Amino acid sequence: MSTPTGFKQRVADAISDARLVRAVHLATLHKVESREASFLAMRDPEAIRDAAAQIKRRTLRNLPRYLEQFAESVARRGGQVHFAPDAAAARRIVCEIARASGAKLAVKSKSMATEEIELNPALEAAGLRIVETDLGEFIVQIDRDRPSHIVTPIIHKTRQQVAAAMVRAIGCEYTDDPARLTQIARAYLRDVFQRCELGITGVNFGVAETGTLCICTNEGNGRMTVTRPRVHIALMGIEKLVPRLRDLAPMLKLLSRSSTGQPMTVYTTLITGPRAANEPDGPRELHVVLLDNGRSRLLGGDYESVLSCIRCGACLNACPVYRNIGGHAYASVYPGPIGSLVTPLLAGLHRNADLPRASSLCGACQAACPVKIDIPGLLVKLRRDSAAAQPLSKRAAIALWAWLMTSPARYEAAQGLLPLLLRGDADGWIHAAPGPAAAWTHSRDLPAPPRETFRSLWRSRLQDGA
Amino acid sequence: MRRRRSFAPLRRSPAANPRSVRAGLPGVYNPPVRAALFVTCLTDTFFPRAGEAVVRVLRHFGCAVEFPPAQTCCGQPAYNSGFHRAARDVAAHWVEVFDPYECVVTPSASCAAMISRHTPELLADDPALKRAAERLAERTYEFSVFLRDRLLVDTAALLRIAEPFTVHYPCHARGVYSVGELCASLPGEGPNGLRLPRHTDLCCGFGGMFAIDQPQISGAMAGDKLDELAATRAELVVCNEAGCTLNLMGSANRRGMCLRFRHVAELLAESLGLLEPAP
Amino acid sequence: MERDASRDSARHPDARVSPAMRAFIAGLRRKAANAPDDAGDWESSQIRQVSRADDLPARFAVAAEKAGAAVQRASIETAAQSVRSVIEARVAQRIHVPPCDDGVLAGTLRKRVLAALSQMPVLVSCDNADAALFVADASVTGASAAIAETGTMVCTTAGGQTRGSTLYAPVHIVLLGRSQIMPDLCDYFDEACTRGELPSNVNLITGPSKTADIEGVLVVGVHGPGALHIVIVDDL
Repeated sequence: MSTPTGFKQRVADAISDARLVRAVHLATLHKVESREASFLAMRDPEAIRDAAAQIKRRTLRNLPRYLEQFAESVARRGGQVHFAPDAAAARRIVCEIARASGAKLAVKSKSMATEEIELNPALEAAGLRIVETDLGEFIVQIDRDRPSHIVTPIIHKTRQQVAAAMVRAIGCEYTDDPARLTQIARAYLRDVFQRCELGITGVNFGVAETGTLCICTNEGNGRMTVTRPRVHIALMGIEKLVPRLRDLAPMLKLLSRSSTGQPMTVYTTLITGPRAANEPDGPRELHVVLLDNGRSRLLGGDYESVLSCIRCGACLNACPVYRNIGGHAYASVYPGPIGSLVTPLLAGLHRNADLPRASSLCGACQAACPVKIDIPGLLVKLRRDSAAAQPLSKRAAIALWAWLMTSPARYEAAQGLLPLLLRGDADGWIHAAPGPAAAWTHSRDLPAPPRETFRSLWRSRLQDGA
Repeated sequence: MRRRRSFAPLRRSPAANPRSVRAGLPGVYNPPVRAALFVTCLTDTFFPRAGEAVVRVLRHFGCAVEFPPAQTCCGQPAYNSGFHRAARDVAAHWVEVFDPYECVVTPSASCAAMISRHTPELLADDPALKRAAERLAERTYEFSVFLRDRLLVDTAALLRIAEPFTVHYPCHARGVYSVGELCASLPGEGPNGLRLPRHTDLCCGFGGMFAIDQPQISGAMAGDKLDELAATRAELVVCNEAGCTLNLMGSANRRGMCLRFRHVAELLAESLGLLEPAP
Repeated sequence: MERDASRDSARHPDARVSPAMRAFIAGLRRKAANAPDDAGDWESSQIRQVSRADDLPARFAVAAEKAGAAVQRASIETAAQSVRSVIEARVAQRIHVPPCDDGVLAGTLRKRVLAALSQMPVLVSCDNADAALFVADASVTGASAAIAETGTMVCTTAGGQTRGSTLYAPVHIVLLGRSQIMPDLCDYFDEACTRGELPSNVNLITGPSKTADIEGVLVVGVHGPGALHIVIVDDL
């Protein structure tokens, strides 16, 4: 997930794109308000969040047991269970199933896990055509773009850009009416669905008790993908389990309310095994590929709770940093606050050390998180873990600061020097500060420190109770 | 190398008498609540008037205010940026300085949150210091919380603000008080009262070292926050956090916006006639 | 339930858990043998939003309409007429009525609906073949349950129902018995757990198919039905 351009450059590019910044502001603020309204309408939402956090915690604490129960349940209902220790293995397994099925045309329902393992290029290299069926992902695919949000992938695109991509890729007449564009995509994808032989989905929740896969979509593409093809491959992270069917209730109550403010996604599909003998449609083969790719390493450690994430996107919408830089600046499949944890934890901290530092730790993400992940607290831990690799100048500055702050005499001496180092202009403000303070005056002024500090005021006038 | 000392638990003072407070009579605590002021490095250096206001208001309500002169910083900047060894040393100094005092009051919610949530864990390598930090965590108060919970003062009723005003909620106060609690400490909403911004808990983009590390993002966030504050059309912003104030007033000045930022202690001291109105 | 399980395993002799999966679980177990299970359990009462004491059809209707569905109330006598009026309003020509149903679209009600349709200038198909399903302008089905909290209907493949009949047509008309409405999502799952083996495909359907992917503009009818009409039959 490392990229040629550095984080700072990507941020600069994003922030200077006024159209992008405005689009992301509008979309995320709308979602924040929808989420808040739907939580306000609930009786005791805190109790539901507690229940959900508890369920995920129990799952992670007992993951071997639940994984085994899940795998056995899937197999008992006629599904095949595969295991992929890493992305390469996952790609290999999926391509192997595809090859054995003889499929030439595959459809995919939106899935973060398949993005994580970069599945599409691998399938294409294996000679398959793979078509994204979520409207946003379809547009990303035909425009050779990347998704910038885990729930609404084209949050960064205008309708005109969508229209241009559609005209280019499928040769339709130009329209930038979202309803018309949607109808054109529906007709195009209907044809694909009629002919496809392989369906690939992610999984929102896997139920250990029953071997059930829960897939949530609003458009119905998830349902089409598990109805039309002969073979269904579901790729899921090992952390996606819940112990029992009834544990889905709190999870589903929170997922779409957190994501879009809807009480439920339009289609919550529970898949238990391939089609039964008496059923007229549905896949005849079901393959569940469980993906580790760095997840099991986190079990039992400081970062275990990151695996509780249900990928609702609430923290992205709530984050004032995401709102200003959009998803692409993170250069990861998982952007936003949770992405700043997931990306370094799964793909390596040292290549992604900028991400955990790109946060004011304001806590809006934690307040929005339906499973109560302490995102700011974990970001600080990641900063701790990468502190030694920070530039020498910064480490030296911190050491100097600590040296000053551990002695009142040194502290006061530094305080006395400050007005000499930071001189205000005639208006009493510093507009371009020297040295490390220059970063401060990049976008704001600094009031010149007053001559009299509080402690001198205390000594001269306050000490005696005047 | 490090000074060793014993950290005996301190006795708490008897609770204040609520009835006399309701009567609005200063100096009614017997024995008086002895409060050590942790003014914080930023308030000390940039906002001495806010510190003075805290002292005058606390004295008005009968506290004996002490200012431990050896105090510096709580260590928050290093803690938040992951330099926990440096943060630990500064936190240890803080604990040693404040350990002898009965209770600690600070005008900064983020420093109060640092002390109550993170200082003990930073000192895990020294059990005696850690225990002292845990006890200090329990008796360290943000200024408005101290007035409300220890002195039982209804600040909302005492504040006289002669113009429409808005409020900035410091994000790092999440562990100390909620947006609702902050608003409850201020006079009510109205055209000439409190005008809430659209998203009351929106971050200003300060975040300590974040403002220096990521000046572009931080600047954009400050812009968002200032837009929301300006949309209330109030020119006075109540902001109980020196870091946020420094960021917001500096950003407002850069943009040529006429917003004034005041700590609630300053407004309270002015309302009670303890400070001359700000120039 | 027993029968289903044995039939499944007979039909899928090669269904299995890969050795790599088993090895991974064993390794994880060795590593995490002593992890304490310190999370408590939750109760349905903690999370319940709607209870049996509430007016369930009314709560259902409000939630379903909020999700974009149209809800009507009817009796056994008037339900067929309700279906008819929807079809007329939607100017649907080809109507699909699946051959089997695990909800209220059976027996008398089914006869009445088919009789009403036969008097209309429409083509009615009860064939589950793709060709019939894909050309339908509207489908009329029952549902196996409904949830008042979220305005959700549950449509399954139990008894050999097709997945396509509730998915392909642009208009989906559902007949729902009043007694099928459960209060809360947790009631459905609590009950589904006790009903035995789950059907291979269960859909909780809440409103018409929709997207807001393009500039956040809400558009209905992406891949599934753009119109969802629910007729609550009060005496069933």
